[in-house]
Amino acid sequence: MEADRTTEFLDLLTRHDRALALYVYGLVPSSADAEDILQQTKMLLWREFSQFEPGTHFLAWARKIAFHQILSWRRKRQRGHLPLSEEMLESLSHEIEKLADQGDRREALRECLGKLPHEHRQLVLLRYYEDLEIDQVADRVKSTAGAVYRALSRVRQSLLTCVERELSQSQAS
Amino acid sequence: MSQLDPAEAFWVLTLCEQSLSGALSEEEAANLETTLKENPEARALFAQVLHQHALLRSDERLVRELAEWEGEGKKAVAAKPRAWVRGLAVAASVALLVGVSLFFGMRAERGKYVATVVKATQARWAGSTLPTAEGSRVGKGTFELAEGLATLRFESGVEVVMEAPSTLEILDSMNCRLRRGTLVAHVPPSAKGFTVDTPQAKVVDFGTRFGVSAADDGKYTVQVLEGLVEVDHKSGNEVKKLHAGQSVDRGLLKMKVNPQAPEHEPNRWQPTAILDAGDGWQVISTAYGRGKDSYIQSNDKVHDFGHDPFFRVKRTSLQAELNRKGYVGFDIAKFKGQKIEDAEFVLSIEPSDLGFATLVPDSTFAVYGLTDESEDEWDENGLSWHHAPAHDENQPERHLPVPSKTVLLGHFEIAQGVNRGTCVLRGPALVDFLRKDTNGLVTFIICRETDETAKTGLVHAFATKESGNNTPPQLRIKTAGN
Repeated sequence: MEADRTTEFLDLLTRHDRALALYVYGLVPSSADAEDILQQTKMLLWREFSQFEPGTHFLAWARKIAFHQILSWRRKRQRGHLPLSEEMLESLSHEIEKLADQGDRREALRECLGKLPHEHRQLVLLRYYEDLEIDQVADRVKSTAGAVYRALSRVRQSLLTCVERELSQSQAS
Repeated sequence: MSQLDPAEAFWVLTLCEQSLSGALSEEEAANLETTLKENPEARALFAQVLHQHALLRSDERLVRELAEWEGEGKKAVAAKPRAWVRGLAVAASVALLVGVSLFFGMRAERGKYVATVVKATQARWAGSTLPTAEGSRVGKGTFELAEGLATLRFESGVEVVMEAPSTLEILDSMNCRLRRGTLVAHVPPSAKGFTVDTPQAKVVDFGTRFGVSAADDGKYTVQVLEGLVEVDHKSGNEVKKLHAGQSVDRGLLKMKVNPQAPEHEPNRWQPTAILDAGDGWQVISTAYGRGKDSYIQSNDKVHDFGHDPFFRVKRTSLQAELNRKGYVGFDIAKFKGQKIEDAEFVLSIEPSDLGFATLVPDSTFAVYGLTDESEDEWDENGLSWHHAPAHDENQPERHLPVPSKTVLLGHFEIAQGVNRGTCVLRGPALVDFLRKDTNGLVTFIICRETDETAKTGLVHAFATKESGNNTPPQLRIKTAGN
């Protein structure tokens, strides 16, 4: 009986692991903090698993618990979080949930990354592959932080437009 | 305001980027907050940025793949490209874009033939973007071979034999990319420089014959049959020159728990798990991970059958030295944490080269599961009648395992004279046994309950992972959900 419950939990967690990570990463800018919060959330999920009603939406339940973890982390920390109110964070979290549940954004993004021009790719790689902070990127490309923000925003804009187009195309076909 | 014009959208985006790095002043932050509160469109845009930022950070594969497309990963972005480098890079990125559109399974560029399918032996194709009939001329695109062998002749004169299962991307007459699987290339002097790209290495040929096997996760092995090739391992500056008879192995060999003697055939990549007809069913064989298959015989002089292409099973009360039991082990660690709902244990009957079928009636076989997990770590070349899991050579029932260390999982029958086909065991006892596994390894012991009616009766045989033409023992597992 006990073993069955464990298996059930692990099964659900494995299935929704990526989506949960994506949710937390979306609301927590620092990767290290996001990882910590994820760990705590998973422990909490397991501890509270008896409260979970089988057959209901596991991911929704897990996101709710994660969101409370994020809030209490924000209250403890002065820095490193999004400079927005809790109400705004909550409404953004709902938007993110909607995005995550609608279409395969990862696949679309992957395709769009492939379509980026060379300079834009370099910027994405510096920021996300080498994991550099903005001023480090600026250092590397011998430019200013302001210019890097603008350049990143342009890359972001073209990726967002491309992703939306990919998604609407894949829905049309 | 609710419609964002492009300038406003760009302004919001810049604020987003800055807020992610904690670079907003209090005033700017308040400004952002107000904008987001008043304008749903700005809010939606910000959420999209957050989501994309999260995808790029939490999904390493996305950016790693981009780094690979860019060619050299970290090296490529180490410095701001100088003008002449930039020129090259632009050319490379144009080439990459072509590669990318192919990779997404689009279409081959029309009017440009690069290779010809010259021969297909017992071939079954899967999901290829290119024509696969013999004689077809093909351009850039992807071949996926599910079974058999296929020979492609490139316009450069290179001949490549694909061995299933393999996925090969044709780039041009001098370049191809082996996404996974095994191929042997024959490169005439006129086509020196022919390159096979794998996820982790680039193999450049200088007029030779060589074999490459690559796994999706980057592991690979290269074996040179004649001549000289260069292997460039992508993460690092290592370039290895290999001469005839030499080989390099990055991981494929280490996947095996029992590396074979050095002069053995090179290891080739095998599919680690096959997604069956859906519904949550997955198939693993003894060729996967720490899987193994062997048998023991009641004779001191013969043992270590781990490399045989079959395992033998026999019960005889007439010849004390000719009893045999089969041992089959599967690596089920990948199912850890998943709920197993149903399972089947499948053996392929191998035509036996020993004994006469006339002397053995319809036979019943029993399959036992090893419950004493401390004995799961057996070595397929270390088994003998003295030493095997759940085995006692002094036990009167010589053909059966020790009852206290095993559980009976069920029976199957083979009619007299049948020497082809498969045997399937299914049932709650099997599912229960798999669920109780704690160490990621399960061992099955296969015994024949039916005795022979006269000496020299048939010995039953079942294919092992070393069999060249028959399916190894398989475990089919259905897990819940998905």
